[in-house]
Amino acid sequence: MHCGNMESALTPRFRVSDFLAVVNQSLEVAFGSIEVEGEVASFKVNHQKYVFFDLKDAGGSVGCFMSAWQLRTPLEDGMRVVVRAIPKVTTWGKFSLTVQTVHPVGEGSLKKSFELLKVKLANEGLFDVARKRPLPAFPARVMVISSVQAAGYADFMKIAAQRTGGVKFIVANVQVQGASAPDQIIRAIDYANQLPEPPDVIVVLRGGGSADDLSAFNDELLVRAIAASRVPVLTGIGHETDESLSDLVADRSAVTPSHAAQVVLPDREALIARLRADREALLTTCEQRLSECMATVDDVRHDALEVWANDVAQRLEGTRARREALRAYDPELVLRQGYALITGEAKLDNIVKITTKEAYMKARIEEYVKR
Amino acid sequence: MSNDKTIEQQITALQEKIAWFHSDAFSLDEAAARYKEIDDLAAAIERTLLEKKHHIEVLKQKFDE
Repeated sequence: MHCGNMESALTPRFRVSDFLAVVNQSLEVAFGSIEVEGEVASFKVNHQKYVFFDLKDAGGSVGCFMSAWQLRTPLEDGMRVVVRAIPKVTTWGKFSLTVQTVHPVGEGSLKKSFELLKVKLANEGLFDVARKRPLPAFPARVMVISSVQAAGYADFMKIAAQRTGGVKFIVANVQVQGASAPDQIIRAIDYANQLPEPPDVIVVLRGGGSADDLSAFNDELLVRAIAASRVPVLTGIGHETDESLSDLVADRSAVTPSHAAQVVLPDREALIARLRADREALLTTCEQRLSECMATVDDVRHDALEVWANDVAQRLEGTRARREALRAYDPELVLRQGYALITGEAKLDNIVKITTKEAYMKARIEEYVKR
Repeated sequence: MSNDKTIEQQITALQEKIAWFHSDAFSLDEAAARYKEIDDLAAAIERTLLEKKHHIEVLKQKFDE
């Protein structure tokens, strides 16, 4: 600072760069970090690294600058946003806000931001059904990411207590709304994935709320963290009608925290009912198998009986045939045909016995000539 | 019954035992003993389902920074 005459001695004089430094120092002391709400205009991203836009309302406009990586929600001209920023004068003397975070506000802007990001992430395939992994049927370790003060957390635990027991819940107590919520949830997801014994499933919970309350779950980095999680993720966010990008990217989404408990844990009563039904069914199976065995024994007995009966019949038939054959040699049959049977020694003057069908006779051999 | 098995493992074991009754390996000689095993296992699972409580651990770890 340079001092000239008396008047000048009371009036500070600066070099330009010093003056800018003093102004920025004064701004920092006066404001530090501030939030400003306004409408986005002249939004542009240069070289995919630097984001420029104006924030305006009916009475004025202020230039804003931020790094592209800090922009976690898509912006478009006309969207109403709140920026957290540090007011600064650049080395060229231009006043601007160096933006740290930007959040859409108002239903229209939130919806617009949601739709823009949804299209972008869908084009990357983050919501594809093929990416979805099944949740374990009987999880033993479940990481719950929620605020333990939230009604949604209490609802989840209440229903969980009625389901199959024996589960270890590891609870990461995080904010589930507000500017720091997405980063806290992301850190909890990373924590779960880096555990020496990772959980079987991660459940992200938050009860109902306004679109603004739930907007944390539409944060791009959070959505990408869920997509990148090695551990399957189940979400239970808001009410039936709410849909967040976290729901869309999760392996499974439940409509409410209570429903999430029903989805992640098997139904104890249904399992008990099934066990009892299985035991009943087994008794029926036993009876059937016993009947089958008895039927088999009957069949074998019947078959054996049939074989024996056939054998007897065959033997009877053979006996009958032999009897028929023997009858052919019966002398009576020959006598009945008119022949006579002569018995005795065939010698001259010998008496022989003659038997016919009707009589017995004796006769003397008067002539014996050899044939 | 073995308590160090998870409910899922116990239910799987039960289903395997039940499957024997529908298999060609079924024999009347073994059926009664096997049915008793299944009855005991099913009762043990039911007791586990009714008695086992959850364990909740809220992490002390802060996630705000």
